Amino acid sequence: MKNAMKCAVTFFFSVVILMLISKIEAHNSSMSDELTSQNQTLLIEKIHSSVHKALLRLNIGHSSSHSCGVRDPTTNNLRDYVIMLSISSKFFNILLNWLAFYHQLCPDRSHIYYICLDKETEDKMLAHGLPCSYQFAYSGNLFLDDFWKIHY
Amino acid sequence: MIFLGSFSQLWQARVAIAGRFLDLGLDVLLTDIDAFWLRNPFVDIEAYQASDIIAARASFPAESTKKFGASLCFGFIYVKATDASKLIWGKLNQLMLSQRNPDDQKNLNILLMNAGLHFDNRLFYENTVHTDYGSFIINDKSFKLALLPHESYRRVCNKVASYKILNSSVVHCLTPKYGNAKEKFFKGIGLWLLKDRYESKTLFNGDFDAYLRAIIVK
Repeated sequence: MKNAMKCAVTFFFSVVILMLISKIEAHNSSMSDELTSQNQTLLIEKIHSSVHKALLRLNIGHSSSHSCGVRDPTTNNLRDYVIMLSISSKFFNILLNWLAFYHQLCPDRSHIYYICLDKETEDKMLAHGLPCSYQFAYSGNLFLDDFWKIHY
Repeated sequence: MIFLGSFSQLWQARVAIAGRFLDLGLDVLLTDIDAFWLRNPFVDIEAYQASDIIAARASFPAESTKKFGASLCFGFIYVKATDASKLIWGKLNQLMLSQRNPDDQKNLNILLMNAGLHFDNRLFYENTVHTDYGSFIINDKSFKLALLPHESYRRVCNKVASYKILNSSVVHCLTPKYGNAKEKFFKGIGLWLLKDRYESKTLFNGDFDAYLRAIIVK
């Protein structure tokens, strides 16, 4: 019932947005003589950006009713899994943006394992409560063993 | 003890660590942090129960694209902890550790190609809407690969209509390699959820989930 309502609301808003786009495009073509090409470009970019944001909000999390993980048909249980992310401090904002998208679909971050490029990245991650390491021993990785003990 | 510091070492480490997870019986999903999830990709991954590896498609390395028409992308790749996957991954790990500046995507694609991977049809890269399946036999074990459609697991975003980008499940656009340029690009196509100047407006107080909720545009 809840899903049906969500679908109906999404459909309604999609129709409204498509109608808005058509109106804006019609309006834009009638105004084209009055605007300079620079203003026109700015206006189009602004319209595209707001339409894009509205559509993004409607679309994200559409399949969120599905669990985060893969169900094994023989046991009907979720398979054990880990999501591995490689991070560099220069891309910390990109990581936060990735987590923002991820969080809307999968609120549980316990499956994520972070690998950091260097000490600077490790410090920045730890300052935000995100554990990662840039030191690895290929036989007997303590950090990996800790991750295993905590989560599995 | 290995101290990372270069991307090549990072790729070496992630292959080695992924191998340890696989040996422990965990499936591994490698995803780049600029491969944003707009829809839950586990819905698609679950549909390919018979496949050992499920991956987005790419065009690198050229050897694979020349032979098959597309390649498997490390920006989004799900590796099941099956016997066949573990065998392949072990070989990949050995290869990575034996090279000075290895590239995991290049190595895995060439490894699979040399192991006898074949597809029923020639592959396409962009504009694909169906999954392609590849397979081969390794040490009497059957290995299956599912290559996801580009329209749903998008790599090329330039000159693509917004609705097509937003209809994707995972968007992993080819972008400039610098943080600021990437951020600008994502803002430009509406794939940016963080508030402007969030660093100065919101301080981290020990609760990351609360922090994340506070810095996302409502």
